[in-house]
Amino acid sequence: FFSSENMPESALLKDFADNNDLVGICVSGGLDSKTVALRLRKAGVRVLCFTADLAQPDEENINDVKDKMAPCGVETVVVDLKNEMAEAAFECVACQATYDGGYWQSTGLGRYVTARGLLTEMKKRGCTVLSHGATGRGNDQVRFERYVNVIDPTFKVYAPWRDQDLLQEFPGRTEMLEYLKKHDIGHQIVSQAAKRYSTDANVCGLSNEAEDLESMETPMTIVNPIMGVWPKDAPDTMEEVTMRFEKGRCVALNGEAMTPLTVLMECNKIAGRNGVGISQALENRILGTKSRGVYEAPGMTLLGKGLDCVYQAVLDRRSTNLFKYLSQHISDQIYDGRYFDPSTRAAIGAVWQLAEPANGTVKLGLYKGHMLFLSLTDCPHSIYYEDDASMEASKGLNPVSSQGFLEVSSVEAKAMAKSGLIDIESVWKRKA
Amino acid sequence: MPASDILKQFAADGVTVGICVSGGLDSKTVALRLQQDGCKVRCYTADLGQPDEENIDDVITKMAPCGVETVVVDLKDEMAELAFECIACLAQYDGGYWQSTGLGRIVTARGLLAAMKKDGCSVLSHGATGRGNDQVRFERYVNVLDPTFRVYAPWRDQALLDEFPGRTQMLEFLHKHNITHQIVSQAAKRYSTDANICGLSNEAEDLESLETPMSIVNPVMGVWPQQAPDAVEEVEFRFEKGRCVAINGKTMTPLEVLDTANKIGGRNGVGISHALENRILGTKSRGVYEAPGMALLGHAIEYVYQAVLDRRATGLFKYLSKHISDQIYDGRYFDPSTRAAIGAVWDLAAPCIGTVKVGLYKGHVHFVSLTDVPHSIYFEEDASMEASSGLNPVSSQGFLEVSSVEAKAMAKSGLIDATPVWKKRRTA
Repeated sequence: FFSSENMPESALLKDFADNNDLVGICVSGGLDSKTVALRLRKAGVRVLCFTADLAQPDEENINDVKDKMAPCGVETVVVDLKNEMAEAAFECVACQATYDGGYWQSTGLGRYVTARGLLTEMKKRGCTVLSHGATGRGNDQVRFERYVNVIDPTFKVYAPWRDQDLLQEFPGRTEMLEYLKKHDIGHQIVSQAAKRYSTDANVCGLSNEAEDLESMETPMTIVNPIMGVWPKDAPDTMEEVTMRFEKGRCVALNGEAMTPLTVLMECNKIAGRNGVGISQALENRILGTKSRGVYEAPGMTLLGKGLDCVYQAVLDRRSTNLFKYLSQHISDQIYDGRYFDPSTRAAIGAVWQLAEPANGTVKLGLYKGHMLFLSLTDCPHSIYYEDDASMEASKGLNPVSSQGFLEVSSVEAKAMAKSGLIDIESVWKRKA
Repeated sequence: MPASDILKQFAADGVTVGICVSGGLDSKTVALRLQQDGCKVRCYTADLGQPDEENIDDVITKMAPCGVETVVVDLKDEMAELAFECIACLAQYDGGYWQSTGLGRIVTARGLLAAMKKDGCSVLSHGATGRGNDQVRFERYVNVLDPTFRVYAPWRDQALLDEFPGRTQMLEFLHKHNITHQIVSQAAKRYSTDANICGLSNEAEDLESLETPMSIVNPVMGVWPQQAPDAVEEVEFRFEKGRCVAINGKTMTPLEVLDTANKIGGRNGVGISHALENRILGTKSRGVYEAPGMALLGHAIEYVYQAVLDRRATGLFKYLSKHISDQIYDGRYFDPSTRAAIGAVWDLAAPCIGTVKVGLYKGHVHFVSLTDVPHSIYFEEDASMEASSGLNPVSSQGFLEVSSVEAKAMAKSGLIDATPVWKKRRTA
């Protein structure tokens, strides 16, 4: 019952070993990944590692993960999910599905793409368990596990950081480093002085939290942006960018037609160098606690703003209201690990329906983190007609017709007054 | 020129028409024209702390040559109270517009109507066009505040529309009556502005075209980010029950807070926004807005709200906020549902107490710190990735096992489709 290191064995791991399960471990090549991979092997569990290529901006070459993991005696499969991430980004932008504080959900999007993509590969190779590295306090454990549950209800899940035995063995990074050292496995530590927070990154953006960011007396500005710069370091001149949208999707940038992945990567560059898209939130986690995060999402922020300009021209007021409701629902569902649920898909379908006529060319001026409206052209389904809005005489909406409109509206207004329903005293004063 | 039947009727009835004026070309033209058709008139102007009015009493002297007396009604404190309410409710409209005009109309209609009634008027005349929002707001507010009071809209009166198709005709009319009018240089400004202490709404003329950049607007309450200092200015706000009671440690009244926030926000380029918005009558309208103080206070209060409001409270708040915003925009501020929603927001805001420090840099507001928040539900030990006495990670095992049941049920009953929705729509 005891392993060779004289540590109590984890009952969960013993089960996997006894069942001859093949555990697919989701790895990033970091300290956690190596520790878990080695620990499971030492417990007699058969393992195979998987990593998702999400065009992570903080990974020079995703294939390096294989070399990083190899000393642990494991094979690592790299699964290319970049196009899936770009599609996820395009959908999220079309749905304007930002969460608390304007967060573009880079992590939430990454998790469903990763879970779907890695699980498919794991099953191909005969795995029966998926092991993820998410902590027991966070959102990602819920996301990973719920996605496995809905995609394949027979597939098992293992959460090392909810395993009491592993929690006792590895209370912190120090113990993990010692463990690896004992097995002659090197690990390059990211300098503690330079960065005192934890980062999750993919082509959609970065989520930074934990460590120094946990304190509400730490300014958001301790974060060093990876995908761009802070506004103060952006150029002191305006850069213009033109985006062509069709059916709510950006199909060309500065006149050049591009695939979704290329659009996203280019927008990341253009927006990033202009300091666009850094935000902060004290957000509501799935488990009900609050969490403080600082986010980067330059490309999605730029695309989101551009598309919003087209939406404002094409969506009538009631469509706008419906859209906002759908958007809020989709955002919550993505955050909560419920992306594949029926209601999410129905809502997304409705958004694509509303976005069908959202065709237009938007020009924005980027200046030190700001995005200024410069022009909207070639918008065939725009319901904005200058004649109807103008203060000048024109053949649009006949002002004299408004007389009748107002007379009609006066009836229900006066009814409320006559039945004593109107109170003009300040609500605040009344409550005092 | 043919007389206006409506005006002729007012003259015959012997009523006094209270005219809402600003002292501009429209105001003088209407005041003079009504008298021409035999109407008894009195003019009223609201002091809303307009940033583009040096001295509101100047309106009296501007209007005097038209042979009218003008009453100035001080409504600055009422504007500040409304701003505080709007901030607490985060009641921005399309594109992040802080509703300076919508708020202004509430205060103006309520305040001027009261003054008009005191003076024995029985008709309110406003200068809003027949295509816009303000006609709806002015009239609906008069309707609900006093259903017996009449309303006159000169710019829906065909007779006046025929006589004064544009500014040229109005200038000629005044000239004919030896009344001068100082025209704002056409070259400098090619759009129309409504202003009060809450902010400015700019629209019309050159702004009507969607090929005109928003940057043609010259801010009045501050500067564009480009002209803001190249240094961070820190500012600290103390909120109690969702209201800002002190700035940089100094206790202030709502009016002082708003004025100070306008200055601090303005000089740092905060609060200029753009929208192609949905008007009350259903058409679209393009506007560029300034609201430096409200934008700044709105950003700051959000940090307190994020600490105190749990997720379901946040969800409810958003719904209330949206309703209140639409109601303010639509001229329905006094309607029962608006008041009920505002009351609920004040209830949610009751524990929203905290000290927020932010850094302002060229139009941006970034979080520096949040302290002294007695009702914060953020506890580091529950969120932390480090070992702590907070939320027990091992408990999550049970949580996830429970949640797996309903998830697996959906999968087992064939309700899960993992193909991208976009792909399915293309191939359907």
